Amino acid sequence: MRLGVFVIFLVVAIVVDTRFMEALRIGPVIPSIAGTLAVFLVLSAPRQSALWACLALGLLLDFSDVALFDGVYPYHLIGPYTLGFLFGANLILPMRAMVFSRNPLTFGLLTFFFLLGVTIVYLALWQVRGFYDGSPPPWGDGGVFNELGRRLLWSLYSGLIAIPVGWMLVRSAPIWGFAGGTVRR
Amino acid sequence: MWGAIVALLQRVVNRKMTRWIQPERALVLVSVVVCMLALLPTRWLVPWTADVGLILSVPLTPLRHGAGNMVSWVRSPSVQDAPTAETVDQLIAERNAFRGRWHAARLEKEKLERQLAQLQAAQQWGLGQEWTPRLAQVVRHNPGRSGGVLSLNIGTRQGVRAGTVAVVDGDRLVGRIAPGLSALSSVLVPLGVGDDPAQHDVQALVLSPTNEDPQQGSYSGQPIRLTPTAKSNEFVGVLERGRGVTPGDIVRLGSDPAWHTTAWGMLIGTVDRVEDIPEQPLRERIVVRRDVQPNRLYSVTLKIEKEAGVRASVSEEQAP
Repeated sequence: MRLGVFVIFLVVAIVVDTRFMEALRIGPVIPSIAGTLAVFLVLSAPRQSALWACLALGLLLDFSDVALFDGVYPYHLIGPYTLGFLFGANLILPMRAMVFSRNPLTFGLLTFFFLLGVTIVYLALWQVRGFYDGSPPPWGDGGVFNELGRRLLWSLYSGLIAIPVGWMLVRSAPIWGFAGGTVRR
Repeated sequence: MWGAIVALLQRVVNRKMTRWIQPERALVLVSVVVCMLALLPTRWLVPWTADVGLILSVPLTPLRHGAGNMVSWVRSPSVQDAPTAETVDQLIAERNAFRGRWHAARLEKEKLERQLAQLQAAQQWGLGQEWTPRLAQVVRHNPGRSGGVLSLNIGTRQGVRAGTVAVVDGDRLVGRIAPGLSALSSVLVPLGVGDDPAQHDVQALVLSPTNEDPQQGSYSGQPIRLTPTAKSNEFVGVLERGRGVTPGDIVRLGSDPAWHTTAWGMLIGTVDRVEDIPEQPLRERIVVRRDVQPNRLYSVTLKIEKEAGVRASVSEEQAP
């Protein structure tokens, strides 16, 4: 996998996720393409490269989310997306030998599952951190189950978006320079 | 022999290192570190994560800005969702917060403009002498036994010396710096205050408002020796009757050798009243009200001398 290509796609995915996707917002749900990129890498890249790439994606997403300590001091919590993306990647990795990795529908389905895994880690981590003074979870008084529902819709919507995005990513596969170690169907 | 031992050690170390530093293990190690970071108390994250996030966002910000423009192009305001009551409340709170900041910024701007005007006015009243105006903040008023001296936030490091003159609004004389100042702070003794006997009396000039020309730095007025009155903001002096001094006349410091030349010609106050002296029918008492109230000052301009011995162009008539 070419590192330069990955960095470009990483930056584009983060910028699109954190800013442009507002254009596609439906109510409180804003889709994500970082999950689709992660799924593409898990399906296409060697195992180690895919995991490191997911870690980098999650890390940048964590640094894009700002939380407030005591309602005043901004900070970034490192972990919810970083660990969530690692967890999601480990969910998808065993499946990659069993799916049609060039089929856009595969991206839709796997992105949904991937983001479900991310959601579990994200909610769990923030829920645990809610015990610390001055650092309430980002969903505030809305309750964790409301947030879970919103994140389910987020995963579903992102899965739908993943179909065209995945198709484009598959088209870009030659420039990535993936080693031929993984199964392609 | 030694070469063989070193080679053997290198081989062992290399094997151990390569066994330890493997991508798989590094990933596990990084994951553990991230887990630990994720569970750290928030107060430990606040001091550094915001800075790291800021650095990481530097290359992304222009791209996000462009993406934001695309969002507003794709999704015009009319298509966007109507704001909820919660959003409106939040917007009102933000508006109030920014309005407060705006007022604070405006006051700060006015303060800076006043300081600038003060410096410009001080320069204008320089009478051609070599000195540099420098603003000093009053960090403490000392209304105690010492009689209202002011503590300033600059000292010898900024060129302040004992006797350095302090003014406000360009030419209103406040006082001078007391001896024994430190590198970073000093004490300002206002005019007419203090235990120094030389400071009690000042040689001044009484000028009618039409008789002074500050641009030329040359005055002709009635010389008078003024004595501060106890616990008041007034000075008293005696003049021969018929000198034409009237209430409202301007009083400036004359060429008093007790003061540095940069203080000469600075404004002391105005004539408040002219009183008869029953025991001296040929003389009259001139009461001068000081123009500055030192206990209400927030900042002063110090006239830092570049070289000593420069004389001001003040002309005096004969003393009474």
